[in-house]
Amino acid sequence: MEALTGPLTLLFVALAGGLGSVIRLFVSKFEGKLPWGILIANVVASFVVGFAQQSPSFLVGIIVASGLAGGLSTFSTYAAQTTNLIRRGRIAQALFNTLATLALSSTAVWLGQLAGAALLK
Amino acid sequence: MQISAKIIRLTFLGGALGSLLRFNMSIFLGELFSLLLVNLLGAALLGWLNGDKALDKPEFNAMWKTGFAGGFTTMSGVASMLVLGAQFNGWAVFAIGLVFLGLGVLSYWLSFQQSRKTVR
Repeated sequence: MEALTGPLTLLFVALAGGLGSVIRLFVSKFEGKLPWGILIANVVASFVVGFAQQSPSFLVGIIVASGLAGGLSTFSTYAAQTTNLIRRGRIAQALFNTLATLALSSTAVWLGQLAGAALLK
Repeated sequence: MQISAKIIRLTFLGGALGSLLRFNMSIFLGELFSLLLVNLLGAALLGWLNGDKALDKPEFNAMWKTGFAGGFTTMSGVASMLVLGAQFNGWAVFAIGLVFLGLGVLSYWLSFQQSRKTVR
């Protein structure tokens, strides 16, 4: 608990979160019939979380998972974009966006864990 | 929104603040409860801000919408929690995940509507 709330840990979580958010800003520009950019950001961030969970260093894992991946992924923009699809009557796309986000992000966490276990341990 | 150096700086600042607040909440409120809270609150915050047309300015959007609300909420945290939950409770966890994503959309939409009615 003390290590988690240490000033350096907090600083690195904030910096990593800022960096993740800026990467998301660029990735979010990819849009088509679906908000692909945010979907990609969420899936990549989920892979990073799974990978970081296997880190031998607990603090590095926390900084990467909570900071970088947390900043890169977003729930609020997913909710906004899905609501916009519903408001425009694009129900099938909204449903697809939701199912794809859920399925691909969860799979990415699992794959990240496998990759992390193979490469970091 | 055109991406300029100022937009990048503001997004970074907002994302850092949001991530820091989310991280602290996870320490003091517990992983699961804080995850539910930050995501529903963050979705509601973005809905409220998007409902107010007067706030729709590139700098404000970068700092508070893309940066703060985006950094405060986390989909990777939700996915991670679902994968962890699936190890103990099987596939049923993903039905809960689906309901939670639906609640997030509802939270955004209700807040957006309320903001549109309140802020004229």
